Amino acid sequence: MFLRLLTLFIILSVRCTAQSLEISRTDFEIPGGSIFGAALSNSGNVMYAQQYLFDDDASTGRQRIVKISSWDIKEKALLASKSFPESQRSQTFPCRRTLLGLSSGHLYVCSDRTSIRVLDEKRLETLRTIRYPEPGVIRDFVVDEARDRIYLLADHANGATSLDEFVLSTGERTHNLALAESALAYSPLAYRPGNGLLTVAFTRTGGFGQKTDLVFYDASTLSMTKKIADLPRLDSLLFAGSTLIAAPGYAGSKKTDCLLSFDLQTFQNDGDFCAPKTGVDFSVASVSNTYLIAATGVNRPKLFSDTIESVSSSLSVWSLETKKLLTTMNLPDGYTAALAGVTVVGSAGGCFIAYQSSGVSPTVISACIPVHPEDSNRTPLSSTRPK
Amino acid sequence: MHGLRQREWLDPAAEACNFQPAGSRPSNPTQPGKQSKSACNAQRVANAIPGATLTGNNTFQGGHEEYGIQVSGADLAGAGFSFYSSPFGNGNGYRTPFTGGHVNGQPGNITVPYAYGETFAGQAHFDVGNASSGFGGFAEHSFVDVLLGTLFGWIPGLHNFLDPGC
Repeated sequence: MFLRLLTLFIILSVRCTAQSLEISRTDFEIPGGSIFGAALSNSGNVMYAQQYLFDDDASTGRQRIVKISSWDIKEKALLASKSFPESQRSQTFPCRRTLLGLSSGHLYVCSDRTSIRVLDEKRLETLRTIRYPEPGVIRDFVVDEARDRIYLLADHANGATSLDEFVLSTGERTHNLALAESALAYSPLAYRPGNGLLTVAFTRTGGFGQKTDLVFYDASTLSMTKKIADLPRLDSLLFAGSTLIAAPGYAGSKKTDCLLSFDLQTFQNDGDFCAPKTGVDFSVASVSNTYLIAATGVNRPKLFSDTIESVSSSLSVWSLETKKLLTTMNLPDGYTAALAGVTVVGSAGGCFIAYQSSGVSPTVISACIPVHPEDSNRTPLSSTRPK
Repeated sequence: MHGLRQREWLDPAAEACNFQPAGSRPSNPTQPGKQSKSACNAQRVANAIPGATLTGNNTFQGGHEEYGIQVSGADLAGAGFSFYSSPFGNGNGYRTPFTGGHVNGQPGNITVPYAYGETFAGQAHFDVGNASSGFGGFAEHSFVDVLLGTLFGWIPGLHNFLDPGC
């Protein structure tokens, strides 16, 4: 009897060991920190970073610049960099979105707030700019290279917000939609190219805190197709297969906070990705259509104080298919602190990075998960296509 | 002295609602120019610390809305801020007060003043009582911002009830 139990224990131990996730992690630093946007190459070997820095040039004096650089992650080596002076000083961080066109190899950024800059991925030379035709400020954008389209959200001087469609190759504006609501969420735009579905997240104050409304638009007509109202505050959106994943915002002070998952057929919440020991916050990314990575950690509002303390900082990994929490990686102290936030960027090649968004930490967390080649080609959760 | 300085701060701050940094927008497009309290207070923070940059990460805590900022010691000094440690702050020394407001570091553990040129991620808000303006201001800050903020700030509709009106 004892031998049977021992054998069973050994078999189970071996199975558990085999199922554990092996993550190879490399942390490196990008001098100056203050990273506000980043992208990864398809393989995950090259990182493109945008930083908001001071330039103490003797001739021009101290001025803000946006520095765009590319990094060989394995070698921790700088590949190329370009700096762009702030043409107009603003007291907010530049537009954060950083996209790498996987078919063209072009890097798209909106950090000058008034145009989309298209860069060559190797030397980071500016190939062209698509200027916003009105005195608005670009808040977010997405690119569909296959359809030669670009969609962007812009704030206007009169307080209105618009969703615009441009032809990528010519810069011609083809649609302009004034949005009914205007307070955009922190990272407000997501795009699903398969069926041309755009989602815009609006934020407002109500009830027990900030609320988010998600509004879905048909990209071909910019007509509204669905609205999901009164969700908790959401700061990051991601289409993964036939679901929309949304990361709660704020500070990770609630361990009950989970990644929300919405089925795009029914637009109903079809289950959550949770981390009961930490809660989930800030940002979510998918790796190889197999895993979800999100910033987690505990930040505790102090009683009889006006501060929020960071208790723990971590990244967590879930199986996209089973919604099971697979592992948690510790981060440097204070890395997921309240208000600094963390942004996670994933790649199809099994790798991901995390950086302190708009914080000062120069440390970039880089890690890879072994994935089977077929994993990155399959559509997770469901093969059905909505609409 | 400090009370006077506080009024000096608040007057231009009250005018801050005409200043509109990108990312802080009126909440209602049908009423151009009418800002939300949140956007207006973000502008007050921006005006009070001209060198600071708002990160866009905001949250509520203790009856105030906390605005994520990136700022340097030089920016704070240039805006008239000075470091202090209060009885409540002992141990975590969290506050670098300025008249009418606070800048706290992240993750709330400032124990020494930041170096002049050092840039750090902070959280800024406006207080009712100025803790750095002597005993009266400290007592007002302790009772109103700390005690009442903790007791009532979690109630729906009162998340930023202590933020000065815009």
